[in-house]
Amino acid sequence: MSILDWARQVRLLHPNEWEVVLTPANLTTTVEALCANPRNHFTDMFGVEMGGERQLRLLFALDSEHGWLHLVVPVTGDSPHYTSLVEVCPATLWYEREVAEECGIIPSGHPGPLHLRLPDDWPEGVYPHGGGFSWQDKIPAVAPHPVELASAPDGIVDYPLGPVRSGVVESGHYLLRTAGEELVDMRLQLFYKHRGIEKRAEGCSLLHLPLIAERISGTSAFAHSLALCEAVERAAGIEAPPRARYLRTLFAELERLYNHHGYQADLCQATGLVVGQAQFDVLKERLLRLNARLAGHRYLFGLNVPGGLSRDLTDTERQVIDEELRFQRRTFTVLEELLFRSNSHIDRLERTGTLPPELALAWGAVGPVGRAAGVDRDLRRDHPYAAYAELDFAVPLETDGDALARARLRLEEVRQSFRLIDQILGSLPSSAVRVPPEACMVRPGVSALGWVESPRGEGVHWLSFGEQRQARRYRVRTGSFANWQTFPAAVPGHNILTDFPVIEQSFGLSFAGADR
Amino acid sequence: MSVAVAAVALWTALGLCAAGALLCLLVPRRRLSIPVFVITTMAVGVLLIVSGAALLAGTPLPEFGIASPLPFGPLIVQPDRLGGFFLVIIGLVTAPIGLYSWDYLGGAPAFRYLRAFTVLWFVLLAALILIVTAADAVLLLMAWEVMAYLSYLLVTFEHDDAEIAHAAFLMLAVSEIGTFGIVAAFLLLAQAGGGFDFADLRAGAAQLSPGARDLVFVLALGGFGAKAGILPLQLWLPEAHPAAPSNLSALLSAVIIKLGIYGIIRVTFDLLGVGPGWWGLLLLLVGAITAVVGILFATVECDLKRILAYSSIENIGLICVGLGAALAFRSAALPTYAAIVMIAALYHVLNHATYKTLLFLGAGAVHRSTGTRDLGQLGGLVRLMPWTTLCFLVGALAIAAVPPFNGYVSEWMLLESLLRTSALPAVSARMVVVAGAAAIALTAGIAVTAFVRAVGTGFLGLPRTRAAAHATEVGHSMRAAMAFLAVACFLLGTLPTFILPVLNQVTTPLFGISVANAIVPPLFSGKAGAYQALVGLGGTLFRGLPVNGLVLIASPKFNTITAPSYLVLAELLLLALLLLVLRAIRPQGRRRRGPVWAGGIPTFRANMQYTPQAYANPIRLIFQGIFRSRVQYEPRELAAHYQVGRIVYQQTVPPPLEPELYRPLLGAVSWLVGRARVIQSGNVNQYIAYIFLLVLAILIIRAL
Amino acid sequence: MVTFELLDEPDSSITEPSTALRRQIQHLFGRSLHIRHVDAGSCNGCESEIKLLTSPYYDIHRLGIFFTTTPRHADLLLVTGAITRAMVDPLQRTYAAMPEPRLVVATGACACDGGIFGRSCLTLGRLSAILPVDTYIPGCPPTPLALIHGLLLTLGRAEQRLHRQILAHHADGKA
Repeated sequence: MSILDWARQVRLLHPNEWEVVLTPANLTTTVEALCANPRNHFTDMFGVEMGGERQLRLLFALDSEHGWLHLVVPVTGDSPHYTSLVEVCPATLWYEREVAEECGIIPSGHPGPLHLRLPDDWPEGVYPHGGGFSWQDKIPAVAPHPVELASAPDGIVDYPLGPVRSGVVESGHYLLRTAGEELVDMRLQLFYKHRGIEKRAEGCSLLHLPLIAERISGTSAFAHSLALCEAVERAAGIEAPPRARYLRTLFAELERLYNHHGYQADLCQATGLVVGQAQFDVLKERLLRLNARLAGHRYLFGLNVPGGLSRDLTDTERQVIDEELRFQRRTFTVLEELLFRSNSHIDRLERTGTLPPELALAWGAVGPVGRAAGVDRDLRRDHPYAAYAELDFAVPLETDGDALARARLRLEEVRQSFRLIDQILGSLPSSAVRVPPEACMVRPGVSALGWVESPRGEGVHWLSFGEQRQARRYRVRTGSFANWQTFPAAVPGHNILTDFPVIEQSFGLSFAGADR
Repeated sequence: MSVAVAAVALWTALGLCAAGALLCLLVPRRRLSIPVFVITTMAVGVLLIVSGAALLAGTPLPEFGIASPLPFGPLIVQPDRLGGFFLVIIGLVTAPIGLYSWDYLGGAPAFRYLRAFTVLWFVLLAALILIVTAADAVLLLMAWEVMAYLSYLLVTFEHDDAEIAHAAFLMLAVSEIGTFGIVAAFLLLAQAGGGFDFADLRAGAAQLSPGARDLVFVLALGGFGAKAGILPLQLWLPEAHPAAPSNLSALLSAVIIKLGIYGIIRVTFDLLGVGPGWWGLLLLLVGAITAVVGILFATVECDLKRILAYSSIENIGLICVGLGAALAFRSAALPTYAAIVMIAALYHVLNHATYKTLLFLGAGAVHRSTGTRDLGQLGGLVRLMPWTTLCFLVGALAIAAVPPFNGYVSEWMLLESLLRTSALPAVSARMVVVAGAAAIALTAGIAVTAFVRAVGTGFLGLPRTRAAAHATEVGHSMRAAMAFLAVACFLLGTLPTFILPVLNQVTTPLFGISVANAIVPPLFSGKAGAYQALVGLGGTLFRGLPVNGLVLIASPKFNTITAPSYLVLAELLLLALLLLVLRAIRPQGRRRRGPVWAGGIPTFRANMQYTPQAYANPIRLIFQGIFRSRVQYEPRELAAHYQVGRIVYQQTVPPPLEPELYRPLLGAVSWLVGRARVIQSGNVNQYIAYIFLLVLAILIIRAL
Repeated sequence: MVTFELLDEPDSSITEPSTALRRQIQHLFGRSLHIRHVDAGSCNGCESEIKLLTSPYYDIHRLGIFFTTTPRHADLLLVTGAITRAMVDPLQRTYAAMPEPRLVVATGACACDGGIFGRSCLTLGRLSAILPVDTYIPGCPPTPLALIHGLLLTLGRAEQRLHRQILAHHADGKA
């Protein structure tokens, strides 16, 4: 790989996980070279503090053959700088801001403000991931210093929405700008819900980590705990037993199903299709009850543990799943047909909230949002985990990028999930579902990556362990975070104020996952 | 008796104008000249009202000739009832303007050319009086030209701004083009009649061929219409009126454009006599288009005074619709309907004069207090300038035709009388009149939008700028003037049964029929006659009431009634009932005042309020075919991501007909003028040759 | 400006309503209750369950309980999440915007006592630190039935049990 010529040191950390150490000076050219190849995808960027030394780390997804590439840039000094990468890789915009405020590594020439995720009353110069204090320490408040927004042209209304807004929704603030009907601009203020999950995980033991990962986004709890457990297992150099890998796939798809049903219900609510909402809510509720029966928790909390699963599946339960799946498939087919016959619903989605494919790619859209705008990526296929490599499924793709494409794509994904579950139930290997805890032991100082295609897109977890085998740095990049960055591009132009709920629901993003 | 009163008041008013001009010229000090200005103007106003009222009550004054050195005979002043009506309007407008000027002229920013302003003001007033009292075309034209030039001077005085100079020049230019039409019309009549006084012109009209009379009609309509601001001669109006000081703006919009209406009435109804039916339909169509276009542009405009100027165009349109219908009915030999709709139009002239003066004075107060007229920079004035806001609100309700204010009565009468089209013989004529009625209905609806927007974004909510936040209430004289006009709007709206018989006095000589008993029937005095059935319906309840409370538009098939005087009582009763109910169901307990709920953000900022542009946006989009607005929009796709990036968004609405008509016309004129320059060599010998050739040509023509 | 202060003990200015007053409030809202929900840093699990309250399986409207968009119309504040620093101010504003009498319900482990987050540099850890809480509905997340029970408890209507069969079905997991 010629792009690694600049590298001072290339290491293979784990199978399919490479690490290259760079200096700040040749970071830009390296990133530029990586981004020039359309098969490489910028995935994550974060700062790490290790024993008083700070590192800027970038993560690229390469092709299936090469796996993942970490770029590590050690930085020194009180206020370390590097040249902002936004010019060569626009998707780094929010990440650079996050690194700057949480680790104190400053991107020179960054076009926007640096304050992103920390609350407005957080003091300057206190870096959550720059070392120096623990999650329990009290950080005194200072006078709030919110990000100053550029004023709108004359005649434009600043329409504030949130953080406390209509319905039972998560907290986030949109500043919609309208000239009366059409939306001409939108400013996004997320991170009201920033709970400091990554900070909270510092110092946690292996057993506690899944509890934290499950609460990143409660409706993707299984996906996130799966990514975390895979990271731990990679760090420990073990693999979950085959039955556990199949069951993990099963539960991941069950989670995708209830999320996609919930998505259609919310979308129906946005367009005022109450019957559709009720029907999809019924499907969702039935799956949640199935979860409760199988795992003891409606949202599958506590199921994933490092080394496997906390409980097995009985043959009776397998039967129950099979029965429920048959009901789901039957009802879903009818509902889908009815949905496409409801003009009042489809007309609201068509050409609404279009995310242009070129922007989706440049700004790093992932998951269903990206796939609906022609970004052909799915970690289940491109970097298989759990048992996906042994199963047969298709990755649907749409290129319109509008709300209808996003809704259609998720409907197709539901059908693929049905297929996957059928296959799993038919070929469930028999083995233990968990390696003994004593076998799942990480070496001190090791780090590893775990990834998952959650219902809302790629989740990538990076975990580094300290000397007492406790988590030293936990980094989570959720699909929602990546997609929120693309969201403002879909709102202005050709949409009117009343389209906004439809656009918001059609993205189907989680605030909790993005805010962490 | 009334003749003497009218004559004395009229001549005293004219004398006072001269005296006022002279005093203002001589008084050296600002502090003295303002009281002189105010007192004289108010006195002139009161005298004009007295004189006009006396004229309306009695017979025309005897002719008064002024010897003139010109070869057109003596100049004749002889006001009739129509002139008297317009004298009342001039007086009703100038008296409060005079009062208003006490604080307005004295306040900051000071007038730079106060002396010139005051002197020319009185000359202008005298010209206005002479226009409506002249009984001779030459005097009328002389006064007309004085008025045109003085309006131009008074508009440009206080400004160095090239744009305003251009606007005022445009006003003068259009006015002069109009004068050309008026002169041509009068010359055609005078040639046939052998003299320039109105009696000769009437005689001339009777002798003219139908084609020539049509030509006179079109020339007069275009000529006076240019001053009134009918389409397509309206371009100057929204430019020039806002540029003037507000006391003058009020006079321009409330009186001077009405003199265009006076001219149209004088020529078409008085001098020309009965004409073919298409005259009326043409006037009606022009009026309908003018009204719709005017109110549409008032709805999207953001400058408070330009809104008022566009709404003046609209009201002129409504009046023209009424006049057109009256002409059409007269041509169809239906003098009763003609008189009724004419009365409605005249009532609208009177009403528009009162509420438009009120609104312009209100806008002037706002401008004086905040330094801006842009609705997008105002807001929150209701707390800072409660009196001005209240008066402006009354004006806005009146102009939006909401009872119990005066706009309601005249617009209702106009609409109702237009619905009597079935009486017209020709189907095509009926359709045109119905289209006019539809235009009035549309206009009335949009007018509500336009003025809810003006009051809502300009006066309510939070101040949008520092200037608006620091506004203070204007002085007592300005408030008193506005309050006077607001009361006038209320009285004209609630006591139409007293006003309508007076207006009937104006129309009786024009149509030879009195319709007082038809419009305001003596239902309750036991002499109901044809309306006995109506009385039986419930009128007996009111038997013995002192006033004829109903306004009635009758036709053989159906009658429609409104009762503004009782409507106000009903409204008051309903209001009281509502308050009682609210009081009864008001929740008991402690009351807490809190900030505006805005979704949990720390402050609700002024730019989160609906802007005037946003409010007008649906209208702009629906009528895009008329507005042809352009939007310059650069979303700067990345702006949203960077959060600090700016977007560009600008709507531009070109003035009506500007790109279609005026720009090509101006180009053509420029081209012609450029070609004509070849005869201007600057060589004296050549000019002498021109004079020689001209004299030769005249001699040859005389010899033929 | 709202200052951020971690309270070791509940604010002394936050007082519990007396039993008589509570009775009166319960009587007032007994048959029609409007809820304003505020997410103060949840994982979205609680929202997912609360949203299902209006779905056909639970249909909370039949109990006279509705969700409202503005706190001006709300009788009850339903708070989820670990009370993040950035949500303290919006939460207090929402409470202040509600007419009196008003009820406050802490929903889910996070709002009750901080859950796994507890008191940290970014979370307050429990709702009772800033608002007077009437009812705690524990659970991570509390199931829709637990939510209904908690709300009825708040209204003094807990004896109005749900249909026995539904509870039984839920207990043994039959859908």
